[in-house]
Formats: sequence, C-alpha cells, structure tokens
Amino acid sequence: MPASPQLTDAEVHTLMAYIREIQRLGWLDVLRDEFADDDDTSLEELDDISHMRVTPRDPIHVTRPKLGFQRNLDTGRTLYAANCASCHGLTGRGDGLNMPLDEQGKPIVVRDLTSGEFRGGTKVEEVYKRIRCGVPGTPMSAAVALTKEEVWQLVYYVRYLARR
Amino acid sequence: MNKTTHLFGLVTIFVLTCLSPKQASAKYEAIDVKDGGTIVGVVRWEGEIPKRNKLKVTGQDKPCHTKTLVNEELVVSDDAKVRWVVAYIKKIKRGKPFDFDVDKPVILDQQGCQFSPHVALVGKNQPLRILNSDGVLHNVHLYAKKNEPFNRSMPGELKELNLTFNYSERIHVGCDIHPWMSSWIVVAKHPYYAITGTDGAFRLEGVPAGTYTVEIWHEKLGKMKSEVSVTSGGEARVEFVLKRK
Repeated sequence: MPASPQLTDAEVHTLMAYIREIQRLGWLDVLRDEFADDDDTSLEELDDISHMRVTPRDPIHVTRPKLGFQRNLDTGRTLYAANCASCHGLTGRGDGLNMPLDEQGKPIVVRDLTSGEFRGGTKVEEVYKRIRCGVPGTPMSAAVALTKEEVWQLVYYVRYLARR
Repeated sequence: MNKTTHLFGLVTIFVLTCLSPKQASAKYEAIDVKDGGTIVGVVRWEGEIPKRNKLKVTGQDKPCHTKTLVNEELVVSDDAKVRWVVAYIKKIKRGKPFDFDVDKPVILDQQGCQFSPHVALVGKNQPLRILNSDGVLHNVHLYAKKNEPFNRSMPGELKELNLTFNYSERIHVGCDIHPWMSSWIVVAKHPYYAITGTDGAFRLEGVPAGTYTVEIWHEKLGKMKSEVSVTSGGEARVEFVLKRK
C-alpha cells in the first residue's frame, strides 16, 4: 500500500467517508444475514446499528508515563502472572491455554510474546494500546481494570520477554 | 465536511475506539394499564428426562474446583419441567412501563467458575452488574451482535463491571480462561419477558386485554409460539411442550 501524498486533506476526508460507507454496507450485510430469520428485528434497527458500528468514538491518546516512573520487572512479572499468563503462558510463549477460540469458535494461535513480533506494533505506545483495548474478535480482552502505571509496567515487561 | 470526520482526520496515531453507545429509538409505547390480565405459562418436557453432564474443569484456579460443576444448558426437573426458558409477548406495541429500579442492577456473578444466573434478564438501558466473587482472573466475553461486542478482563481484585444495552437481543457470554463457563443475557424489548424457574413456570402480568402471540426461546431447543387471549383482570393459561430436536 503506497503513500498518496498527491491527495489534498479534503480529498483524504472524502475518501475516508466513502470507505466508511463501504464498511457500513458490509456491516449491514452481515447483520441482515444474521437476523434474516428473526421477525422481531426491523431493517431500520439494523441500519441504525450499522451506522453505530462505523461511527468513531472518543479517541484515547496514549501518553508516555510521567517523569519519575520507575520500570520494575518484578512488578511487571507479578502483573503479567495475574493478567496475561493464563493465555500467553508464564514464559510468554503462548502456552497458557489449551484451545483458545476466536469469536467464530475457530482455534486461534496465542501470540508468542518472545518472538519479538507484535501484530499491533512493537512501539511501546502500540503495546500499551493492545493491552488497554484488547483485540476485538479474539479472546484478548481489554485490561480496563489496571491503572495507567500498571499497564506501563506490563508494556515494559512484555518488551523484556521479547528481548530475552 | 462534518465535525466528527474532521476530528477523526486530525487524530492520526495511537488512537482507538472504545465503547460509547448512543440511544436507540424505542418503538414500545408505555401506557397506564388498568385492570390488566396475566399470562400464566408452563414449559414441559416430553420424553426421557435428560441427564446433566459434568463439566470438564481444567486449570489450577482453586474456586473452580470447590464443587462438581454440571451443565446448565438443558435443565429438566424430575417432573418434566424445563428451566431457563425465556418467555415473552411478541410484537406488543403498548403496555405497562418498564418498572425496573435503576439503582438495583441485574446481577451476573462469576462464582465457582460458573456464571450465576445462567440466564439473566435485563431491560434495555437497565444496568447489568457483573461480579467476580471468585477472586481469580476471569474475562467477560459478550458475543453481542446488535450491541457492541464486549470482552474485558476481570482480575480477582476487580469486583464489578457495569454495563447497559441499547438493543434487544440474546447475548451469549463466555470466559476464555475457563471455556466451560457459559451464560446468556437476554435484553428485553418491553416489560413482558420472564424466565422459567425449576418449576418450568412463568408469569407475565399487567397485560392489556387482547390477543397476543407468546413465544418461548431455549438455547438448545429454539423457539416455539402460541396464541393467547387475555381478558381484563383475567388469567390466561398457556402450555408449551419441548422435546429433543
């Protein structure tokens, strides 16, 4: 996918709206299929839902930890054991769960965190985002219960696992 | 270019979307029902009473091993009554208002590595509170199709998560850490919904006089419906018979 610097901002926005409409129609198709036999569901309701699905929500900006933040591998390890190890395994090799399944009930491979490759990106902000919001469609849940500082400790611990 | 699109354009990196559902348009009209009737129903089972399988419990989490867990999917009493059946009036346009108390949320607990209750009934926009009595890491995974799908980790020290739903649907709930955990959240469109207990019975009260279709739904046995005539202040009886598919 090449960069398209020749497009003006206005054109990019128009394109975005168009792509979002394509995505909305895709959602509408999926929903119509899903509720084809459900006479309690109106097309109007599904149309409404499809709009919701593609409407951007409040953005979350990831900011680096405050000055004075101390990385602590022990804290990170404890948080990791309590929140991540059940799926990713204590060593991070993805050997925690027997048979994790995705949203469709199909087997899914748990990321081997020691490989150093993350789908969501390897930058600390990207790892933070993955932990905080989870991965939709997969068993990777959003860690909403942790404080910012705890998520940052996890980010650094996960990066430490990858470097080993 | 509208404002939201513009805003979206400005925010370039490390941005993500989290949940903030908007209000859905309600079709049901709440009226003052004077001298409403009652629909009294029972769901019976035909055939050999099914056995409830033991659940295969794995892992080291202590609360999961305190007692033998059995399947809640198909629960039939010795006298052939079916539990966990959802009964509701179909396409009712007007009737009593939702009478739930917003300060008293519906509870869905995680206890002994099982959800309790197995089927939770909640109104549109009524709060649902998910508890973690086990004190071990669970994740609450809602396979919602109309409402936003939801998957949040719930560490032992997090005691509650609160949710509301904008659309009426049946949502399967699981936990990826303990794959045998399973339950359903039924988001009601109107107040005329009920779930059968161990006696297979349900009651729909305060129904305006008229002829209605009552439908039942069971996670394994599907749907069935029946016509019912309700008179002012009267009691209309309806019976459903389920059997293995």
